[in-house]
Parts: sequence; C-alpha cells; structure tokens
Amino acid sequence: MNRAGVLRSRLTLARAEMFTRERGRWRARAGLGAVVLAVAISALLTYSLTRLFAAFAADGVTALEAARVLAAVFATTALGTLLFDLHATMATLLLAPDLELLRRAPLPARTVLALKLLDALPLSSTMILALAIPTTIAFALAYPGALHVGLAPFVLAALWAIPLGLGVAAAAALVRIAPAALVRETIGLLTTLALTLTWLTNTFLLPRLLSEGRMLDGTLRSLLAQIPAPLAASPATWAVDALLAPWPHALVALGLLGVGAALSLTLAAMIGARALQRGSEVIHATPAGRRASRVAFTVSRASAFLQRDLALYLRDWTVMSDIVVAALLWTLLPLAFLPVLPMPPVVLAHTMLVALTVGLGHEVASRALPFERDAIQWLRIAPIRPARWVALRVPGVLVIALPLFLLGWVAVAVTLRLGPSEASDVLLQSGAALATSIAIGFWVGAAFGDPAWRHPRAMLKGTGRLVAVLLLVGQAAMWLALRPMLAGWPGFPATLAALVVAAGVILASLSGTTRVLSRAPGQRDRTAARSNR
Amino acid sequence: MNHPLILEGITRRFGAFTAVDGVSLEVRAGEIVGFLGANGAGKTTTLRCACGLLTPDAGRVTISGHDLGSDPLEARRAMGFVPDRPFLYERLTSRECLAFVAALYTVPPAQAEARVETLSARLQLGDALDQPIESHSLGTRQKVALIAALVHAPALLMLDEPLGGLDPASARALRDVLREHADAGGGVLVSTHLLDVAERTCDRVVMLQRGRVIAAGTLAELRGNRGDATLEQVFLELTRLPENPA
Repeated sequence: MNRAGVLRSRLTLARAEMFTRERGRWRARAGLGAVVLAVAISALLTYSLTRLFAAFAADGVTALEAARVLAAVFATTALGTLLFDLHATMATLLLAPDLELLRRAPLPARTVLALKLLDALPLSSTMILALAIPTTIAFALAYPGALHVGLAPFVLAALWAIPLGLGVAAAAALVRIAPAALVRETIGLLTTLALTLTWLTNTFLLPRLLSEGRMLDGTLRSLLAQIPAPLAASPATWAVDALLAPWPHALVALGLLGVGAALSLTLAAMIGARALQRGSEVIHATPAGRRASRVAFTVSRASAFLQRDLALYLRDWTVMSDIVVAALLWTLLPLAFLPVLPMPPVVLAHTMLVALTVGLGHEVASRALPFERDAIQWLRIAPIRPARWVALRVPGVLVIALPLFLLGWVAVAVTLRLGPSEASDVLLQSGAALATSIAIGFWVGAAFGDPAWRHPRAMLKGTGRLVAVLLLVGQAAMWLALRPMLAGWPGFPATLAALVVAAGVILASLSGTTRVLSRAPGQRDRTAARSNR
Repeated sequence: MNHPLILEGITRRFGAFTAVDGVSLEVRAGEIVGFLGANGAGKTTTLRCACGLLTPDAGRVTISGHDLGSDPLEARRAMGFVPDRPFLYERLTSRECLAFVAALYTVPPAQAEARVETLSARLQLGDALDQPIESHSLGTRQKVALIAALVHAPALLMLDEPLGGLDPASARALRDVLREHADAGGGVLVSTHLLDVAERTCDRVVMLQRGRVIAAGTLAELRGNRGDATLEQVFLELTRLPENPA
C-alpha cells in the first residue's frame, strides 16, 4: 500500500473541509467555522472553569475536594464521547460516501478502519477537546502542583479510547434494528443537545454559582459535596486517581486505564473491521416491515400537501423532537437573564413568548423546504406556481408550530398569573411575531436550504445559518423594542402596530421566497449538469 | 401541428462552457425517440431544459403546442419526466408519494388510483407500493418515478436513463409501457446508453455530441449506405469512438 499517498489524500480531504480554491483564491468553508467555534468554546470554558476552581481554592476547598468536579467532568466526557463515537461510527464507518471505494481498494479491513477512525477523529474527540482538556488545564492552573501533569496526556488519550470500542459495538448493533441513516440522525441530534447543554451550563450556571456571595456562606462547598462520585471501577475514577492519587496508586489507576483502552481498541478493531467486511448489504438495509395505512387519493392539493407534511414530520421523529426541544429551550432562554434583568410578569411573559415564537417560526419554517430534499423539484415540473407551493406549505407548518405556541402561551400565562387582557395582548403580539418568523423562515429555507442535509439541526448551509442567527436576533430585538417604544405613544395600540409590522414583513418574505423558488436552479444543479451533461 | 415536443435551437451555457449548443428536435405523436450520446454529450442538460428544470439561454421549448417559457403550467401539464435520480419523498410509501403527485396534477382520485394500480401491476411493483420509499432499491424507485410521470396521462413522456437499475423483466415491462403510450398517441423521448435497447424500442434516434445534434432519423435513414450496420456501429462511426476489438 502506498501509505504516503493514502495519507496525502486524506490530508487533502481534511483540508477541503476547511478551505476551497476558486479561481486561484483560497476561501474558507464551513469546516473552518466549526474548528474556530470549537476553539472559542474551549477557550471560554477554560476561562470559566479556571475562575470556578480559583474560587474553590480561595474558599479553602482542597484539591481532593475539588476533584469531585474533575471526576464529574471525566464521567460526562466518557459518556459524551460514547455518544459522539456512535455518531462518528455511523457517519464515517458505516455511511461515508467513500466507504465503497475504500472497501473495493486492495486494503486490509483494519487499514480501512484506521483510515476511517482518522476521519472520525474530529467528531470522536469533541468532548475531550471541548470539555476534558479545558477542565484539566483549569484545575492545574488553580491547584498548581496537585496534578501529575505528565500523565495527563495518557489519561486523556485513554478517556478517548475507552468509549471507542463500546461506541463501535453499539453502532454495529443498532444498524441491525433501525435504518442506519435514522440512527445517525438521532445520535447527531443527541450530540448537538449534549453540546448545547454544555454551552448553557457554561454560560448561565457557572456565573450564577460564582455570584450572589455563595462562596462566602459555604453554599459552594455544600454544592460540591452534593456532586455524586462516579463508580469506583470506572474510567472517570481511574482518570482522577491517575492524576491526583499518590504515586503507586496513580500508576495502578493509569494501568487500569491502559488495559481498558487496549481492550476497547481491540474490540473496536474487531467489530469495525467485521462491519466493513459485511459491507453495504447490512448497513444500507432498511426494515421493510413498516406499512403505512392506505392513503386516500384526493384531488385537493391543500389536503395532499397537509397529508404529506404530517407524514413526513411524524415519521422523522428526529426533526420533530429537535423542534420540540428547541421550542422549550427558546422559551426558557429569557429566564436566564432574570437575575441581571428583573422584569415584571407581563414583560417577562412577552419576552418569553417572543423568544419562543421567533425561534419556533424559524425552526419549523426554515426546514419546510429543505425537508423536501430533491423532491422539491416537483414544483418545477408539475403545473403549479411557486407561490402556490409556498402557500400550500403554510398549513403543514402551522399544524406543527401552533400547538407548541399555544402550549407555551398557556404555560407562561398560567405560571406568571397574567390577567385576561394581558394574556390576550401578549397572545396577539407574539402571534404576530410567530407569523413573521414563519415567513422569514420560509425565505431562509428557500435561499439557503441544503437538500442533501444529514443532520436534523443542519438543514441550512453555513452562510444560511449565519444569516438565520442575525435574522433571529434582529427579529427578537425588534419585537422586544417595539413594546416599550409604543408604550410611550398613548392612544396608539401596540398590538395594532405589531400586526401592521408583521403584515409588511410577511409579504416581503413570502414574495422573496417565491422569487427564490422561481429562479433558475442554483450552483448545485449547474455542477451536476456540468459533470453529467 | 401540435407535436408533443418541439425543441428549437436550445442552448445552455454554464459560465464560458456551452453544454448544449443549438439543439433542435421534435417528438411526434405516436413515436418513441431515442436520445443518444456519449457521457457528457449534453443529453441530461437538454432534457432538463425541455422539462423546465433548467432555463435555456436561447431557444424555445414547445410541449403539445404550449410554450414552456410563456405558458409553463399548461406545458407542464402535458408532460411527464423521469429524471436519472428520481425525485421521491423517502419517508413516504410509494402509494402516498404517487397520491401526492396525482394531486399536484389534479387528477381525479378514482382515475389516479386506478392508474397507479394498473401501472404498478404492469411494472411488478408488488408490495413495494405500500412500503416506504427509503426501503426501495434503485430499480423500484425508478418504477415509482415512471408511474409518477404517467399518473396524469401526459401527451409527452421524457425519461433520462430509465433502464439503469431495472432487471430484465422490468426493463421489458418498461419498454412495453412506453410502446403502449406511443401507440395511444403520446410521444416519448428517452435518453439511454443502451444502444441495443434503443434499436429495439425507438422509432427514431437523435444523436448528440458535444452539445450538438450530429444525426437524427430512423435506423434505416441513419444506416444510409452502410448496409446492415447495427445502431451501435452507426453510433460509433458517427461519434468517431474507437471500436472495441472484442
């Protein structure tokens, strides 16, 4: 085997994820953004944790006591890495586009496995890079001399290796009971949620722990004591012992980690190589047993669209659950600001529902068109105008978004004890925000949707995600600013103003969506045509 | 005369590159026209221009008397298209997908259902009709795409490499369906690499090379003074490809 050539090609592929060369110029791609984001999150986390551990140290908490946090982080890392390994196995070992090419090449299965594990490294090491390393660095800075720093790389490498065998084995088992693509999307969703929770913890929980004088009254210490210790015979415990225990014990713990890592890697090699040998007949198999109830043929396009949309959403539970979880997170987001921005109940309700509606409209509507994948091409073949197609998508979006919105409204109104007029006022204003957000979401989906999406949270291309974030922030700012602004104009009802603004933005967005859909196909089609004319 | 399809001077460029260069052809009622050419000759781009997936830079597409540019809805109503990669909803069953497509063309439900049942029986779709498309093989997907293209009984049927994933029995059934469609007064334009299939199935062929039509006519017309030459021999000679010594 030409090892140098193979390695060069893999490096070229990795570079192509981050940079592309067009007309002699290097341009950044989405992969580079992901790397920058990961580095930024790691840096932020290191800073936050350094402050946390420094607060512990200042409060007289010993290194052994603070090691409870380290153990909890290592346990989380091991579990998170297992999840990421499952995802990485699905994405790179079982469903990678180049897998068949590599399998047909004169390479031993273990070499192919090693190459694919190399490809999977960014995904499988995310938790180590984003969580375990920042925590270890922060701990070492706050408690200088307490850690066996020289052992840290080995400990962290073992924490990466041990979940790998289990992840590969679990992935091989899962594809026997569910379509591989569905498993991949599900795990992809869970990994995103894991990262989101890490981010929320870092952004909101840690600063609160350090505020309100908790260090002074001993609350922090008692909180520390409440953190459950991981199992004695677990990688997290061994990792902490290897870093903190006295020397003979540290070496024993390191040995246990090493044995665990070796066994796990052997397991990964055996199962992964076998999965690669079995090939696509197992991996791409999808259960044919599921039968849908017989569908009613209808002449009504509205009914056909609604039937189709409901079937698509209800059968793609990864997308549905992502929407539901996102709606919940968006609604709760304003609560995070309460300690620094105290608000009266009606303002808080308005803020929470604006966050919900702006987020929810985006989550549902921006996916509506890319969710159709290439089948959306029917709008160019069938006798239907793009404007009509978009209009017919609205009921399907509302069927998903309205119940979530109304549920959020009832929950917020009841919890914050709003009066009838306040509740209806908030309902109308946030309803206008929802309608606007849906219209804007349609445009974002039409302009930046990726019909080849593989992850339920990533149906938009990189630029689209950036534009979507800006639009979300802009919308939220507009709706939140509109209320107090109009309160200064007595006699001018805020709700009416909200409805007028909404109508204007909705018309502009839907018109933009129709224009995008009417346009000649984009670069993707041109590329396809060039390669297959 | 309203032929099912008339292409007049279709040109499509991608930047400085001309993929299709002034292609003109017609598909008459009752005939199957084979669209032949080597890889990269411009067949797929021409078909995409003819069905509205791509907008030509120059030229005119007329489907059953309706200009695709100025009267797109009526032109599309008269056309069915089977792309090389079928446009199907993976999470729907074939029946659900076909019901949706039938509604797009506002086909009366009873008529649509009967047509789906008949065509799926002809193409031996079997149980696949009520199973998710994501579980289908490529051949089964192509059968579903063909039924989707025929569900509204269009005057013109265009197919881009439809025989790739089909087993021999299904390929035969497909050829029979195309012949019946033509015999019933419809027109068929089929792009294929399979010259023997084209020879057995098509009434006329149009050959494309580097985006231009280099020959068109019946096999007898193309043979000219070449005696009993096969379509493959004629094609290789016209496109100047080296013959396989085997």
